[in-house]
Amino acid sequence: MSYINGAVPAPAKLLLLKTSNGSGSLSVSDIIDLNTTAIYNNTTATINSNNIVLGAGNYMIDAGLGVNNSSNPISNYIDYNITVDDVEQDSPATSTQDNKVGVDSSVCALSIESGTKTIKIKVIALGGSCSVEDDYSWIRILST
Amino acid sequence: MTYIKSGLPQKLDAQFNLYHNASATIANDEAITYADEDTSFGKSFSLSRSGAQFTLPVNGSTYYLEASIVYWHTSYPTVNYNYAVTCWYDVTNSAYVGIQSNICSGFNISEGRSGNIVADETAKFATSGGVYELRLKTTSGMLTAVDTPSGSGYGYVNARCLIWRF
Repeated sequence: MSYINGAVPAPAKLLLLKTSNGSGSLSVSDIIDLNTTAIYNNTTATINSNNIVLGAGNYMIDAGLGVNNSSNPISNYIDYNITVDDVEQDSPATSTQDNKVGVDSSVCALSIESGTKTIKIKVIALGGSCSVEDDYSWIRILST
Repeated sequence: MTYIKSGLPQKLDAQFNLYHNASATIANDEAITYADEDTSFGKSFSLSRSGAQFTLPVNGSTYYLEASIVYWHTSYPTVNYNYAVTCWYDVTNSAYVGIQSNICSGFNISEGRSGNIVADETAKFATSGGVYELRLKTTSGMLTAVDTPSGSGYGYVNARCLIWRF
């Protein structure tokens, strides 16, 4: 008789990527461009210029944007969110410094049974004028 | 014959080291040393380090590095409108690597009011091995230390460095 003794420990896979959006002013509904050369990647994800395609698996995704606000971090801000197949997820982030500090990261947990899903970072609100600072901006994906 | 429909359930095999008690010479491009390690979590692993440098062995593991500092000045927390930038540094190749951080001073209204940028406070990097250290890449204003001195009354705000191994 064979027994399967619960969960099998396995190393997490990791993708860490910078954005590549440049210094152009942002608009609502913009999709953030990505650097297709990852800092590190041992996942099976496909990295495209403004999206990442994931296959079957379990994922924890977070994304944070460094934002240039022309020294007005309350009036000039963006809210942004991770999208999965163009559907906004439940944990958006903001760069505003009104009663908070630092940049929130947008977070998403995702389980893909079969097929693929496409991940993007979308600007969902904008105050004033802002741009992305790529050296401070990332998307990180941990997978089983 | 036995079939397993959707694969075995998995749990992630991960360990991490937590370092604290940070210090540095306050100038651009200076290394930041985390003097102490907290092993109380029971998930730490053996890692060679010398001063500020961590030597991550190339053995098939993935390492994820994440660190932050405190923007400290003796008049903390009333030092506004200043910031510091940290970044991981590849010692072997003499190059900054990864995602850099932005740490403001004093009250939260400081961030982004000097230097134009609002960003996360942690510098991030991932690698399969090598020799790395966190560096104070740039500073502005009145930075005098990169961690909260003991006995200052603000001991709940401390620098830390986490190195995950997957």
